Amino acid sequence: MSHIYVFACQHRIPRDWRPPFSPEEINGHKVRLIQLPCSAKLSTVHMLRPFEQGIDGILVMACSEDTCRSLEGSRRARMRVREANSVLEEVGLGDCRVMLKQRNGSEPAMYRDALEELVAQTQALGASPTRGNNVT
Amino acid sequence: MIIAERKPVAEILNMIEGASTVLVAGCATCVADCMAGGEREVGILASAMRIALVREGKAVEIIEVTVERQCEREFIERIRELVEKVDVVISTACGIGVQAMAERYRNKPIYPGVNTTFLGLREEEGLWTERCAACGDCTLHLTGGICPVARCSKSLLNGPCGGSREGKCEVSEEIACGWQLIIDRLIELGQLDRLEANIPPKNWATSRDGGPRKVIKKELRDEKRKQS
Repeated sequence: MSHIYVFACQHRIPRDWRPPFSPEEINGHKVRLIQLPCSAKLSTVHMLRPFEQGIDGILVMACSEDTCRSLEGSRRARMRVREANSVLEEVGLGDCRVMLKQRNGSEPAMYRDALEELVAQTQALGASPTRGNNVT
Repeated sequence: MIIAERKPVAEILNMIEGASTVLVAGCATCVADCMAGGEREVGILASAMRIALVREGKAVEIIEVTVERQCEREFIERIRELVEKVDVVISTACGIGVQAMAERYRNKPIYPGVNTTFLGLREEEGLWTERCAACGDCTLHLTGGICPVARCSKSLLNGPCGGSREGKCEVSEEIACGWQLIIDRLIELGQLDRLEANIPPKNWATSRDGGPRKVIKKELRDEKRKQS
């Protein structure tokens, strides 16, 4: 079972999945869904800290860059995702454990497809070398 | 501002070999603006170190702190308690901050987390470029406000040289010819005639050639008060 953190813009979360009703498991993968007011609130360090605890990957669900209500938010998220992957690669975790999806919808199927794609990528890299380090 | 770049994590891990507690100390001034060693970068570096250390099976406690300015003794004194409880400090301040810490905490190894690179400015998002070489004898009034020492690859005081092609330097097509920039600016200012004046050889004693430099303002020094 992969352990994935999902950071999502509030406008991209399915209505029934909003906290405190967020699913803890999707497609058999352990998931922690964190709602953000905008993907721009996601800093690089927010994406690195969970890897200290041994998660396998992070999915970032943001708006399309041309529809972001904060104008710059989704674009900034894209650059921070790139920075996080760059740091993870430098410390030997690979450069694709953080995946950004910029979409206009908010359907559960969108999450399921993205999660499968991310899990396939992380499994190709092998289990997170920090696994077992008190995942919460 | 002072521009710096973070050192590779592997190099930093080599420095802290054998330590069981490490303080990553950032500076919230220049290195924060150039995104190399401020609070944000301290968080990223500390996290990267923890992940790398877990991979190596090493248990090292990494503590994070950022002070307003590491080049001011009053600010670095405030983190004394943290500094004293760790084995090693990685300072992500510029070389000045690292040395200020080393002078203040004489019994503690203070290692650099960044490479201090140059004096420059943010040109655009993610791009910083050099503007000043701190040579100690400014000639910007003669060169349209563009520094020939910092921006000409050869630091020519009278240019351009024969290696200037279509506004680019012979060193690289990505480098603008500093003297072309000066000429363009003088034209804009209506001061192109300044090129006719020969700028005499510079006294480099005011630069690095004269050894470590010092600025003294006698009127501001109180001889009766012991400086700490």
